[in-house]
Amino acid sequence: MNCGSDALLLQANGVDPTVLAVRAVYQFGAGAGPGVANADDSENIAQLTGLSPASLAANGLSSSSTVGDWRATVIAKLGSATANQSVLAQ
Amino acid sequence: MKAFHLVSCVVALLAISAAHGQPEGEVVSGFQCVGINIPGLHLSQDDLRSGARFPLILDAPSEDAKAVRRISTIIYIAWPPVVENGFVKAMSYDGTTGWLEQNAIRPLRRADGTTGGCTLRRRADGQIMFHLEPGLGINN
Repeated sequence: MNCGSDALLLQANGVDPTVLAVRAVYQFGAGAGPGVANADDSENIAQLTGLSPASLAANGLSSSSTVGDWRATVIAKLGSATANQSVLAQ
Repeated sequence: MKAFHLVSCVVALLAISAAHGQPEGEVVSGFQCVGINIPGLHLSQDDLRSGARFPLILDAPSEDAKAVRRISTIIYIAWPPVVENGFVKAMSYDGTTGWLEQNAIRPLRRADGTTGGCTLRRRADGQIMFHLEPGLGINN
């Protein structure tokens, strides 16, 4: 994961580069990641990313996983404060 | 007593809404969600992941205009669509508007082929989040 370039990519998409958003780019790619970062919790990840069931499974997800499910797993690991913190100095 | 009961009900309803993750922010009108045009741009799975071949939002409806924002798989466009010189008016996730080549987008569809859109909401930090109608996806 290259936090600096992923953060700049998110900014180029108009997305606030939080730790959670950078993680979305790392996990779902520069194409689909910014969309996942900007989706409501209820959105289905497979429908936003076009990932195959095998790719989803490799990421610990299924075809029914939502953006909220994914965010919850990241927040459980990092804590809410860290996950929502911007990776760029203000 | 009746007034107290009414206030209690309102508080209870608000608590239920919060517990169910009610989307926050004011609704943004005049724009709708579409998907990246996977067949039209001949995008592979790798392209979808890398975004390397995604077109850019430009500051004018012209091929030599300056790029202002990148796009992802879900794209916001002016609604009803505004088309000029083969470009459609688009908006990035932070509300920056510009122009995107018309061939870059297509309607979001359900598995049965019906189309749909989204609700856009502007969060307090200015970020514009999307909530798609059920069943819509970029691959359908």
